[in-house]
Amino acid sequence: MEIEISAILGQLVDGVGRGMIYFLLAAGLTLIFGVMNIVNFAHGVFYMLGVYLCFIVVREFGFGPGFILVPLFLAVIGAIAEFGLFRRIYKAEHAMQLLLSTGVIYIVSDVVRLVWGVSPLTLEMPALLKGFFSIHSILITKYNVFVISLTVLIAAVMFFILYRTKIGSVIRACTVDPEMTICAGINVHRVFLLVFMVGTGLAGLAAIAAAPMISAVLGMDAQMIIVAFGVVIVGGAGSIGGAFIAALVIGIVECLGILILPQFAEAFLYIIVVISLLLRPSGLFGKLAG
Amino acid sequence: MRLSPRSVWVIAVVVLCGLIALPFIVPMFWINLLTEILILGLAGMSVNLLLGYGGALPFGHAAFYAAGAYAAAVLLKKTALHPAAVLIVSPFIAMALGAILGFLIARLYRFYYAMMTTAFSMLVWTLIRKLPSITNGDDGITGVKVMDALTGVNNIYFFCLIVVGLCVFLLWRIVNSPFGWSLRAIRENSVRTTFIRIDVVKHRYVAFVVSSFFCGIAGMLYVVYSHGTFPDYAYWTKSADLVMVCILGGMLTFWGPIVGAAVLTILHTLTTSITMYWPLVIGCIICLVVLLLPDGVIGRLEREQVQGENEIEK
Repeated sequence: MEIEISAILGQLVDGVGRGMIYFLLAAGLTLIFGVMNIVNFAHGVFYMLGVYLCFIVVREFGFGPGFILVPLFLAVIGAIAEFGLFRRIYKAEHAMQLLLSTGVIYIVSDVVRLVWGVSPLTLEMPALLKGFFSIHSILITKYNVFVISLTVLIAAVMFFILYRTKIGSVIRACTVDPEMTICAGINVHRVFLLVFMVGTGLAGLAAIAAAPMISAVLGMDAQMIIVAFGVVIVGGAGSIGGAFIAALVIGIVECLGILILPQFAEAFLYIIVVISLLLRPSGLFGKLAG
Repeated sequence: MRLSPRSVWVIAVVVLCGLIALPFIVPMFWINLLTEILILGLAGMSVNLLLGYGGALPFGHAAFYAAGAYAAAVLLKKTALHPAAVLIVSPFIAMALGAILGFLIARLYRFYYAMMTTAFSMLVWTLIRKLPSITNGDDGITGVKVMDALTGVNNIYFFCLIVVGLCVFLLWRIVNSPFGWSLRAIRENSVRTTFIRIDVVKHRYVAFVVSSFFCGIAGMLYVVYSHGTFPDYAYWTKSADLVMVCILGGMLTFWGPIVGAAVLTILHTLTTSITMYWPLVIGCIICLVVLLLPDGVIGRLEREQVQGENEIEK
């Protein structure tokens, strides 16, 4: 089986790029799950909403501002969802939370269908980021480099906030023991709202980062939510670092898998999740939540 | 609303007679609807064995539903086996799958249990799509003729009624057996249950295998009813439907899943005839149910009954 090194390396880079998007999506989810212990299956549909929103936002304001506006818009939607719906089910069984998320999924998917119709939409890659770098006959898209650098920056910022600021330690305290955190005088409900908004905003960031590379199509949320939860499981609930590593691994394995077993490439994610749950259910760095 | 055991029996007999008489009274459309409700209700009951009685969150039963369906469809279309043999064998193939997955999940709990089942069912979905030589891939299998005795809306309905009735009876016996009570104990507190020398892992495993068997029957029945099967029967959204059906009807009750299946199917049919935006409607209903009716329809009725009893005792 002849596979050139350059093909492998090319796929490796693609895998890293893909992993970065997965990380952005999963980071929000792992925060929400780790801090509030709720299973938010609707995270994928928020992502989808974000991708569709890009079309309007990019058309009106351009691609650059989109990176601020789409996450912001999604954070607002997250705030509404948290305040109106998710807030009431923090203490409920995971089954109920799943059910509520499913309801939200149905609602938002249909709204997307209402507004944007059923045909797939594609976003034009911004002119500045079109094209390739060529290193030793490995082709790396400029956009890939952009996404990777941006995500690494965001990850660094997240680490800094979580581990070097007061609000970060408050958030981490909620992950470990919400009741004691309330006893320490922290308004945990406000923290939850903030975390939910940040989480959903990150999904928006993932959306605009991914938008030029994919086509927006109904049902994309179903696929992405499984990936996102897979990353959360493998990396560990509540762990940003774990999500980063897990997302990278999954992205790379998927892309390399295309070289080896193109037909079953999508199965690699599920196999990774199954193996991870067998060997280490709590994930790389997570506590065993729930 | 107080119900003595005697009145429950009366209601049961009346309902049964009604179900048997229905094909001769109402139009075909409603019989088809009822058949779908029966099948979905059975699948829901199989899930509820684990969800309501076992306290777990099985989020991948679509795999067994699809396994039962595909086993039936493939064997009927591609082999010369006698149809009756195929129908009997198919659920066992689903059960074999359940035996495998049962190993994987036996020691997992809550969310991790759910994700394992989901990952496994998505694997099954991928396999179904990527092995077109056996399963016809994304196109699915259509035009499956079962046998002459099972053609026609009424015959299919009666067949499903009998099979589902039998399964419901079996499930009733299981749930009210010592095994069933051990399951409830595990649901309440699995650690304490080990203290009274009940093998929790073994119980969870056996419950899972049994559940997968009944879900496989439901899948097989659906092939009999719709003469076909598609890969999406294994997609996680189908598993979500099954869980939803249990919670809608009341997951802590025996009949909940059937009620939930009826509510969901009738709502779906009514809504799609009025508007295109069925998901929007069902989404709002789900949210309302979760926020207002966490015990489901039957749970709510039962709570009123208990409250009624408490008041009388005062």
